[in-house]
Amino acid sequence: MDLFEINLTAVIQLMSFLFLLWMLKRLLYDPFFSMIEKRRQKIEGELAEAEQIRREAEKMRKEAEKLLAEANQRAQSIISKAEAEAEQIVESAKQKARIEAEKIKQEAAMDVERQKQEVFQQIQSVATELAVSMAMKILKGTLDEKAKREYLLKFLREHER
Amino acid sequence: MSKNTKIAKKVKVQFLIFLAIYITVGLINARYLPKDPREVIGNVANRWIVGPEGVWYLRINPATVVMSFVVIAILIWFARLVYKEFSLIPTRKQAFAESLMEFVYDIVQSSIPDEKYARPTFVIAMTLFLYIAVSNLISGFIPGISVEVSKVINESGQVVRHVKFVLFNDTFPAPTSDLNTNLTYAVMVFLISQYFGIKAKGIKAWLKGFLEPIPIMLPMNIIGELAKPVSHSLRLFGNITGGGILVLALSYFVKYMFLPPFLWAYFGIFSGLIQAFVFSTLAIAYIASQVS
Repeated sequence: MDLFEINLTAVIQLMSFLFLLWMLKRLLYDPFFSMIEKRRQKIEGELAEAEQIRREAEKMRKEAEKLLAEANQRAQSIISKAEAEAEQIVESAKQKARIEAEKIKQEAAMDVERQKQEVFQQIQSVATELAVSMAMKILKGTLDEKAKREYLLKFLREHER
Repeated sequence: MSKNTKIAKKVKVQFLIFLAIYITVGLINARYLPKDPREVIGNVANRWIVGPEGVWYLRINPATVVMSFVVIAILIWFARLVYKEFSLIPTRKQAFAESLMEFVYDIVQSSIPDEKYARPTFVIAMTLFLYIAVSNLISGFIPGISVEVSKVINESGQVVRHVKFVLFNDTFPAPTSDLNTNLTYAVMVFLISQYFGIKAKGIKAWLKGFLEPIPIMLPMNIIGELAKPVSHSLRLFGNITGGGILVLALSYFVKYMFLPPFLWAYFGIFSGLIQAFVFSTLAIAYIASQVS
């Protein structure tokens, strides 16, 4: 029975199998497991890194939002301040204009008064002259030449003053 | 891309040359075929054994030993190729090796969750799978030098073996079609599984396991355990040897023409790989049943 004969071949097969096992463990299995471990570590590290980056981004986003809100607030305050200022300016300009107008009005009034005064004076002088001439016309003949001259001189002097 | 097509062309040319030689040798072989089928079929159970009759430790099966050395050399060559370019980003070879190892490691892990036992079990099962798969492929699929042994009993009652080497009539002799190989591995798996069982459960619990579920089952349990290596080894042995004999017989009837390559492809690739898978899976299962 050749097929079922067990002999030294069994021992040789066992030895060669153990040798193969040792060689494959060194060349295939150990690098395989270390590679799996390395890959696992790498992926874990990368995932952790990604998580960290995500968290940082979240933080930055929040910060940016805060900054934006702050900027908004500041802009709002600046706008309201500017509005108030503008209003104030308008108000003051109005006030100024009113004062100016008042002044102009007063000046005009004063002018009018003065002109009135002038006119009045002119009217006075004209009236005086008219009165004088009328009086002269009335007095014509009653007064001699001498008296006339004296009176005229007196009148002129008064007027020159 | 250009490199790939170049390699494919080279492989094609080599394959054509091989086919030409194969057909020529097959035609020459056909001329020397024995006329009597019994001459071929009667020799299928013979093995090339060297050494004095009856002294087991001096007798050796040279075909088995040489073929197993060839298989081991091929495996170590491949492992070295992969080892040299091992990197985090796998090359094609490395990806192949890794997917193969992952496949086996998944099976090991699903049946043995404990990492302490899963690792050595994986090492044993993987090596068994690779060894048996490669040896089945080489000696089941590739036509090569086969050994024909005819036994003659001479005048003094001694058995004399006439060894004849034949090219391309059959595939290479398979190490796994020799019971020496299979029984050695099966017994090794058996001993390792028992050792792991003792280590995992403690010797008391391990001994107690034989008395379960009732003490009267002790002989059954012992027989059951001892039957494992026997069935384990004989399954592979029977499949490969039976396949070989079947192919040889069928090949003789078709005068070694046309049909053998298909039969070799079937018995080498399908049957061979399935048997390698079954053998290593059973090894895992036997160890798992002891560990858990």
